[in-house]
Parts: sequence; structure tokens; C-alpha cells
Amino acid sequence: MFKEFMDPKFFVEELEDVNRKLVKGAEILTTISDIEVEPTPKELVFEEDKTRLFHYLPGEALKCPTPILICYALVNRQYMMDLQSDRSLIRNLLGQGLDIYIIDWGYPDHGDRYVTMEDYIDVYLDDCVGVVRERTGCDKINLLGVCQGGTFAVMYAALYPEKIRNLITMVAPVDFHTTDGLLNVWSQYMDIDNMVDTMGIIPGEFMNVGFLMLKPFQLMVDKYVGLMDNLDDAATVANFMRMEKWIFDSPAQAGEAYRKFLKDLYQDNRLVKGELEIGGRLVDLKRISMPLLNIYATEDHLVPPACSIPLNDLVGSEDKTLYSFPGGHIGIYVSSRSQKELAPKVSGWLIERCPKDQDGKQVCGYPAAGTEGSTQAKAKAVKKPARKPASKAKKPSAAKPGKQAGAKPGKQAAAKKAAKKR
Amino acid sequence: MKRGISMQENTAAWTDIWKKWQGMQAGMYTNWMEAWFRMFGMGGDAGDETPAKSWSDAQGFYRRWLEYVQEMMSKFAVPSQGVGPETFMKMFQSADVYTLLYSMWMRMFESYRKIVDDKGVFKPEAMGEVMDAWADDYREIVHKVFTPALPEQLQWIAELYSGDIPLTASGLFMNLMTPWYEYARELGERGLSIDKLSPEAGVEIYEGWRKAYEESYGRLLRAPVMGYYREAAEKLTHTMDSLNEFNIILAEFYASLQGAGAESFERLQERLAKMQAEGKDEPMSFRELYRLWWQTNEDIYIELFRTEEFSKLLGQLVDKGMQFRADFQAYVEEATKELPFPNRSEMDHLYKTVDRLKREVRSLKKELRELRGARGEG
Repeated sequence: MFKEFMDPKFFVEELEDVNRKLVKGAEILTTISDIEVEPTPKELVFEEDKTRLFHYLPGEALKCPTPILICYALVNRQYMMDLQSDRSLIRNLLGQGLDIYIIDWGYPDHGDRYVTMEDYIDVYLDDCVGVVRERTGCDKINLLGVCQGGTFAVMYAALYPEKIRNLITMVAPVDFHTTDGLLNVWSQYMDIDNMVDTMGIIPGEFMNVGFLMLKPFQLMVDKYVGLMDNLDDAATVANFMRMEKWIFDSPAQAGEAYRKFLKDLYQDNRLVKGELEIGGRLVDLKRISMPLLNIYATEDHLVPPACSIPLNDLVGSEDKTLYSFPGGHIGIYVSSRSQKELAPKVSGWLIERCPKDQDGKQVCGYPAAGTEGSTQAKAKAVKKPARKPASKAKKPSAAKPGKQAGAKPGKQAAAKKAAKKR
Repeated sequence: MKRGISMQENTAAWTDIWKKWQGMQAGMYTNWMEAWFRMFGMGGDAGDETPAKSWSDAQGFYRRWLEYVQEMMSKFAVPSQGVGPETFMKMFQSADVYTLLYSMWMRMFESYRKIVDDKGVFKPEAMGEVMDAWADDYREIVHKVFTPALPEQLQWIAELYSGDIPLTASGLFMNLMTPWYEYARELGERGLSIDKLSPEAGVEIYEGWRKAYEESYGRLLRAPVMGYYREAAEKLTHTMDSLNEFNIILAEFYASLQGAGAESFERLQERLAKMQAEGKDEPMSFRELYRLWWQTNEDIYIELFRTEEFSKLLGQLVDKGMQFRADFQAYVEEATKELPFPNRSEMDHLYKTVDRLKREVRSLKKELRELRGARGEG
């Protein structure tokens, strides 16, 4: 028997509560004009085609001058990591004393249907790494890959180990042949060629249908019913709307890159088999010899733990850490637990591995010959490293890989000032 | 020069007409009354016919009446040029067209009842006979009605349509319709009904639909098209075909979801019963019930989504959707190719060229960088 029928007082109270929330919620929803995301100040430092590289304005004091480059997924937008000021992994990491760059892959359109996975790894990601190295004077930088961006980071680290000091992967799929995730199951029955040949680029809306189907009632029903409980709370409604914005702010996928990612990885699982080729080179995970922090979420329905955990057994690194975060694929960035536990874990792990000079001082990478002093001074002195395969010796080069904005670290202060004004 | 009609001749003509008219009136009423008697079984040779004996009696009566009037009017010869027996003959030939066509279609309707037995089961062999009979009727009508109406030089056209064409048409009709009758019969035998669709039955129904479609209209839509507008027409028929294919899979897809919905309802009832059995039958709020409802649904749907069957179905759904999209795009591009804007295929060609040029520029820049590096420049 229902409580509402048994207890009239309870029924009336429930009714009154719902009505009050509806009225208040209507007022809140009609007065929210803009849902702001990405509150942390940053500056554009490089762009090439649709790829843009941003540098977050540093916090009070760098505890590890070796910069960290965040490589997000092509699916959805990188501002999940900086959704709002009190739920921002980026802000937390800055507060822990890290120097952070992040890649924004942009919104591919039909003109990008021929962009390949090789373009993302060997050109855009490598150029971004090059810019960060040039700006900071670090031969080796820290690379943090998120979700699909984590898979990219793994590939990149295997192809260019000489440029990466530490590798961090967050909820990154590596072993795709598991039945724990519906995406892994469904992808086996998809004719990817037919999809790409027909659509050219894979629309974000198309992808979203698949994602919503992973938890149909939770994501399409309960989420909105749950909002009702807090509809009278402006802050909660704003938080909800930010997340809603992020979920449906879905870039299309460049056709050829999508084709290779789905066929070679989801369907054929070539990365763990050692059969994946990028630009004619075999991606050998044993070449990943730098320290590895592999983070997975225990309740991840998009990238189940079984996809991420095997990485630690596949790499050549001796220093490798597997970190289990109790939560889901999104909660790992926005939950309060993430803010309290994950950010300190990442920063602590990196700071521990920050290179030190003979005097025990932390320095940025390996100082270039004949240079002394601060990191910024080194950055000015060190020439931009050429983009070369790992097997070849690095050569200095002056050519810029793309359009580089504000390459001098000195410009960072001005940008910070401007951002404060905003 | 035409000869004028004198008053005397005119009077004689009218006297003759009047006499004939009187005789015909008597004959007409005699026939009329006989016809009514026959229709209502009131004597004559009506035999066991009854008024409810259906359309054939009324049809016969109408025909006899028409013949009578035709005869009468043919004799009602006004001796004026251009209005005489020939005029009335043509008028009645036209009327005859309607009666003949009416007869033919009514016979078809009548014979339709023969192809389904008392239990409503379709008999394809009876249907074949009916269609052949229809083809014979059709040929007869063309021969009798349309051929005389055409100028002599063009009468071969009517002959053309009174030859094998009706037989071929009836054969085609049979090919198109038989799968659907078979499908309807299967539905009837299994007691399947669209409005009381269980998920399993739904899948069966859609499977049957697909089979009937494949053997009938599917063939038609996939047939090659001819003529000036061939390219666009063919693309359009392909689009229609692929849309049908997509809808078939979509129906199966929905049926599987519906099945999960029904199962989740049962599961919810089981859970509630279990709670009660375990003594947890304290009053629950709507909110608690809602939570139990959506979580139960989620569990069931995820179970379904994990199955190989569903995954295959999803793959097929996407494939068929893509095929429809590709066909539709091809048709739109064909139909709009003369309009002053580029279509997707043309833009793709352009994108490909730009992509190739970008790569060349990138490669050349790299070479330049390496050359400068080797020469110690920059």
C-alpha cells in the first residue's frame, strides 16, 4: 500500500512540496541567462586547423616546473575538467602547484572527414607537445590523457618516449575486448566502413544516442526526475545545466580517425596485440618506459575497468601505479571526492617524480647545454625541438609547427591580468 | 443540295413514329413487369431466385431494361440528318461501357469470395483462376468496347491490350498479392494480432512482413527503371526500398524494447511480491515505488542490451539507416544537380583535394626544416 494513500498528511505535504518546487524552479529556469563553464583563466598559445592549445595561468607557486599537457578525448569537450570553479580538477591541480596545458580539438566539420588518427597523434598532438617543450624549455613533459585522449597519449608515449617524462592515463581504454562495456559489445556488430562512407563525419548527436542507451532510464528519465527534488535550489539547477550543456555539447568525429579507432581498436584490439600501426610505425607499448600512473573508475560504464587495468602489464615501465577511483566516468572529474582525493593524488605523484638538479632543486627537464638559471630563462634559450621519431636523435629547429600565439612565457602574466578583468 | 422536308412527309413520319412508340410502350411494359416478377420471385421463370439474390439479378434487370430502351430508341428515328439511329447507338454503346465494366468488377468482387474459404483461409490456386478469368473479361471488354471506338488505323492498340497483356498483368498482380495473402493467412492461423502484440509475436509479424515485402514490392522497387528521368527515378525507388528495409528493422528493434518493457513490469511485480513475502510490506511512497520501477527497468534493458541478438539488431538498424541515408542523398543530389549550389559529393571531392594539398604543404615544410637544420640555418 502506498504511503500517500495511508497517510493523508504525508500526501498533502508531498503535494505542497512538489508544487512549491515547481513554482520556484520555473522562476529559476526562466532567469538563468547563461551557463558559464571553464571558469579557470587560460590563454591560447597555439592553433593548427581546428586544434587549439591553451595554457592555464599558473597558480601561486610551481611545485613542479615540468609542465603537464592534458590530452582530452575527441568525444565531448575538454571543459569537463574545469566545469565550474568548485568542481574543477584543473583548478585543483593548479592549486597543487602544477603548470598545465590543455588541448581543445575543436568541432570537426565535413571538411575534416579525411583527418586521420595519424593526424591527431603525429601532427596535432605532437605539435602541441613541441610547443609546450619550446615554451617551457623542457625536453620532456608530463602527458595526461583522458578517456580516448588517454589512448592517444599511450600511443604517443610509445611512439615518442623521448618527449614524455611521466605518463598519466585517466579512464583510458586500452584493452577493448571485454564484454563489461556495452560499447565494446555493440561495436563488434557495427559496419564502421558503412557508417563513415555514408556520413563522412560522425555527428555528435548520433554518438549521444549510443551513450544515452548505455543507461537509458537513469540518463533519460531519472536524471530529470531527480532535478525536481532540487528545482528550488538555484545553485543545484545551475550545476545541473552545466552538466547538461557538457553532455550534449558533442563535437562530430572526423571520419577517417573514427574509422581507424573503431576498427583497429574496438573491433580488432590491435593496441594490446602489438599490431597497431600509426603512420606506418608499429605502436609497441613496451617502449613506454617512463613512470605511469593509470587511473580507472570502478563504476565506469563507458570505459569499464577491464579496459584500463591491463595497461600496467603491457608497458615497459618499471615505475607504474594503478589507481582505483571509486566512482563513475564523469564523477572522476566532478565529484567532491575527486576534488578531495584525485587532484592531490595526481599532483603528489607528479611532484615526487619531478626531476631535480645536482643540488636537489627541482628543474624543468634536462637543462639545455650552456643555459643556467630559472625555468623561464631556459625556456628562452632552448630552441624548439624538432619533431622526430624516437629512434632518431633530436635536432634543434626554428620552424614552428603551426600558428603559435604568445610563445614567450613572459606574455603569460599579461594574459593572467586580462583574464582577471574578465 | 439538300432536299427540304415537306409538311406532308413530316406528318407521315411522325404518324409512323407514334405508332411504333405505342407498340414499343406495350412491349416495354410487358418486359418491365416480367422483369419485376422475376426479381421478386413472383412468377414466370424466377425459379428459386429471391430479392436477396444479390447484385446479379439487379444487374440482369438493368441490362434487359437497357437493351429494351436501346431497341426502342433505335427505332425512334427522327428523320433529321445527324440525329437518327446511329446517334442513339453510340449513346448506348457508351452506356454499355459502364455496364460491362461494372459487370467485370462485380464479378471480380464476387469471385474474391471464392478465394477465401469459410474459415477465412486464402486459396492461392483459386486466386489464380480468378485472376485468369478477370484477364479474359478484360480482353473481351477491350475487344468489344474500345476497339470499335478507335479509328481503324489505331485499332491495333486495343488488340495489343486484349492479348497477353492482361494475363501478364494478372500474373504480376498475383505475384505481388500472394505473399501478402499468405502473410495474412499465417497471422490468422497463429492468432496473431497487431493490436495485441506480444514482443515475440511482434518479431514474428515483422519477419512475415519482411518476407512478404521481399517477395512482392521489394522486387518491384528494385526493378530497373527506364526513360528520360531514369536516373532520378531509380534512385528514388531505391530510397523507398531502403526506407522500407529500415522500417522493418526499426519495427523489430522496437518490438525487442517493448518485450523488455513487458518483462520489467513482471519483474517489478515479482520484486514487490518478494518484499511483501519478506515482511517488508510497510507502506512505500510513490517516490520509492518510482525508484524501484526505474531501477528494475534499467536492469532489464541492460540485460537485453548485452545480448548478442540485440547487438546484432542494433548493428542492422544502423546499417539499414545508413543505407537509407546514402540512397536518399544520392536521390537528392540527382534531383538537385542543376541547382546553383554544390552538393555533398562535390564538396567531398573538394575536401579531399584540400586535404591532399595540406599534407603536401606539411611535408614540404618538414623537408625545408630539415634542410635548413642540416645547413645550420635558423
